Amino acid sequence: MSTTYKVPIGPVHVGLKEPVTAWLELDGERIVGARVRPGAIHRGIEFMARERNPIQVIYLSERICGICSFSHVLCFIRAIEDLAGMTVPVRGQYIRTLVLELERVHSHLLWAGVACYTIGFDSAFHLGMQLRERVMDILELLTGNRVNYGVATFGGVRWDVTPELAKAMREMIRYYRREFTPFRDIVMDDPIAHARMRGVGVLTGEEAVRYSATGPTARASGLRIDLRKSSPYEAYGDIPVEPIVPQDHFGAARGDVLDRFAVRVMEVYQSLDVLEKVLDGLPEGPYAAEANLNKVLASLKKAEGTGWGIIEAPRGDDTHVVHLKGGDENVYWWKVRAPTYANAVSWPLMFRGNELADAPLIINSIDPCISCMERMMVTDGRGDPRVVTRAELLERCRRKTFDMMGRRA
Amino acid sequence: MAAIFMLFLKFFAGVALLALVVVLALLFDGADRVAHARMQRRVGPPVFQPVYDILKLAGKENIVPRRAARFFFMLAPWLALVSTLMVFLYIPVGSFPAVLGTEGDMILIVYLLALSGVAMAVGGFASGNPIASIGAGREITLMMSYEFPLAIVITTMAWVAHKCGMEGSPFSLETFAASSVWDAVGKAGDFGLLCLFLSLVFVVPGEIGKGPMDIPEAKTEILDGFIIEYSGVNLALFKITFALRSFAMAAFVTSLFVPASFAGLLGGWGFAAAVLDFLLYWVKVFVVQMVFVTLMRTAFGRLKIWQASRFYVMRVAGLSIAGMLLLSIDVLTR
Amino acid sequence: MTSKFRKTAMACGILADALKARFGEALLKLETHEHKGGAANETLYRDLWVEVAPETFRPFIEALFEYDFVNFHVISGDDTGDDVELNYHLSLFQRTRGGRVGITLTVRVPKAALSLPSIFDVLPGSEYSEREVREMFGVDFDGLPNKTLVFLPEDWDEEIKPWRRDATGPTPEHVRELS
Repeated sequence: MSTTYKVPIGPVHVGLKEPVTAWLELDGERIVGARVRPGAIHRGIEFMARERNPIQVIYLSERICGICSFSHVLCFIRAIEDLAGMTVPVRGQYIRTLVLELERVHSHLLWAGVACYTIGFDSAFHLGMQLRERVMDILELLTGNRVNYGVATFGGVRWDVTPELAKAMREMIRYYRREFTPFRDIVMDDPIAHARMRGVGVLTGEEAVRYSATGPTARASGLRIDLRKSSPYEAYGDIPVEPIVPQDHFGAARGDVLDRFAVRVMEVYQSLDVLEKVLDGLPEGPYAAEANLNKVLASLKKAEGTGWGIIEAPRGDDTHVVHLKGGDENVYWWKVRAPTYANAVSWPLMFRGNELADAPLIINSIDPCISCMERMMVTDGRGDPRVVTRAELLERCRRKTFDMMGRRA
Repeated sequence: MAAIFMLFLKFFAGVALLALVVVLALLFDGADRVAHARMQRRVGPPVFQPVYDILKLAGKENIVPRRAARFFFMLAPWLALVSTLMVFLYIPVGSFPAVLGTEGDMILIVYLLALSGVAMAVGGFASGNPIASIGAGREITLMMSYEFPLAIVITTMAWVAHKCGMEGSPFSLETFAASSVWDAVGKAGDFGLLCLFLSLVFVVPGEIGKGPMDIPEAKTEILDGFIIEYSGVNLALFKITFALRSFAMAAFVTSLFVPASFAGLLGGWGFAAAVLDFLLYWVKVFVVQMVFVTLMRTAFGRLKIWQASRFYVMRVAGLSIAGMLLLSIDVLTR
Repeated sequence: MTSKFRKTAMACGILADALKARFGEALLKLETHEHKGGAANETLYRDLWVEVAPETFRPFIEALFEYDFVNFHVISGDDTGDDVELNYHLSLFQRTRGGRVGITLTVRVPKAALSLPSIFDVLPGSEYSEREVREMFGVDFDGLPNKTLVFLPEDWDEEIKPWRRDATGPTPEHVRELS
């Protein structure tokens, strides 16, 4: 007689970066059934936006996700630009593309590291984290922040790329071309990494089509889809990008975790090429259509309609839909769909026939961003009456900082 | 009268040795963590971090889950620790004989290590947590996989010692510590010994649950496996046990295969040579642990349980059988 | 029906004409948005914005499948008073450069009969979106196998529909101000 038992992976789990629950039904170590339950980190961002004007929502949308924050910002901005018919100076478009690709490098490096961590390959994880520092430094140099860059605005960007910065970026591109290859070889030639990732979490091409998988997850299953090609935006209109699929590089697309790893690794190289082309073709001119935010806000107050922004974020396509009502200063409604939202539907398929040991790796293999996927929360008033207010939290942060400074001094 | 005196001597020597061993094991664990970190270009914790951890945990309360089998849950850490500690009573340190060397041999050592492994698994099963049960199940599976090559290594070594006429009981570790087994055999035998040595080295990560074989604990999969429900003193005991197990395995490998000593160099200085050998022994253990535990766990990711099991049952067993055949040919064709 | 994306694209204008010819008056709205960019400021891709009545919704989706396998993005929506307006965001022709046509299909579902046929059978990728719309707006999807909550907590009072702007929506006392 075979007995099955249920084991939860999550909501809080060492192998997961963010809270999501997968209830696995196990027969020994084999997964016979899986039920995914998101919902642990719904924060009500779409609801909050209803009380904020579009400029404020830029900064709110940045906080949807810490990794692909710029993708969300740009997507939201493009949705507003779509409905209000704004144009962006060419230099602004190029700088946006630059940040997008930097973010892709950053996101893929982080993911590659975390995937290694999930299979217990800590050395590669630390190497990946170390590699990632360089692109974070460049982003900080450009925007002043390591995450949540605050660089995009309606009709352009807020920070220019100076010649020194361009030089530092070229330096960074050379650094990655030199240093990233050893990391790739360490992982992709490692027999244990192969044993852990090959044939695990398979999503076939047909299933990827039916389940609307997106981004590297879809491409690893062999689908040649990439919004940078199929609906070019910003500087991708001038810089052609071809989707990276495993069959071009490894003969066949198996749609397993190793393919997802390979696709992301190849995309890092592709991003470096795109970055170089953007830097080469960076045109002169203004980088924002209108610097005065009050004027922008006034024109947005008159705008009415629904706008749809869709871009290729590091994890897949990111969709934002915004509705503004004429005469109303605030965003009327806003819908965010992060790539994870689409890819998470395929999780139960990927779990088929795998083992418990593979589960965290499979969950991580789509590079999930749960806080992207879940955005909204209203309490029913029965919750804990003792809630720390923002002012209190700020005060506590300050006190802690002072304490730490006092101890160090 | 003399017998009682000897008993007291052994008692005090044992207590002193075990105290030393616990401290050294924790220090080596700290050194392992620092070296591991440095190899990953990190700074790493202070060398005394495992000691601090133990002290901190020792001051915390034990929490017993409601669904746990309380008796076994509380017994398991003690059983694991005591059985691991007892291993050191049967391992000769340098040229000092093992404290209880006359009462037990290699087979006992293997069984003590297995007992502590079983104790851990029992603790996991007793905690009533499905994740701990999975971890415990994995521990047992892993143990069943590596016991076979381990048994081949030990019996072959004993057989070689017996056939080559090494002094002492063939199953006693002192035999191998006193004279080098590498000198006792010929060219083919050296290859055979190398095969056995490598097999034993591959068994080490499985036995101590580190490196590519940290499957029963696998924190990114089953959240530290069978120790998931342990806390406070019990957890401290387990932590000591883990440190001791890798230390014991390193000491076992050292005693069996690395018998280098100063005795030959300082022939006339009996006592000085003994003291130097005593120190040298720990250095050897340290090197063995660094190379075969720290390096291994830095260089590789984690296998899945069936992959690890297949690795032991097919590859490592094959390697040890090859070693056994080579040694047989060497010894029998003399 | 094979699950594959078409390798060639159909121009947005031709698709629009074909849809117009096929559905005629049933298309309540048909607009094209152009997206420009790049140094030459050329049109890089186009979106179609279509509105149909709930009865035409399912035939329209099935018609789209004749051109290419539909890629589903998300369902957005709003409470417009008497109706719940749902926008299905879909994509066609994703294989060629600049060939993708984004389709926003708007359906106004009257609150009196809050039900719409599910597209889960043809597009299983829509599962989370349909469940989300169900829990947030209270729209019942006919044919959706799993109708449990997806993002809201297990102990959620299902009478409250967070995205609604009427009596079933959240009242100010439901909102916990954090500052």
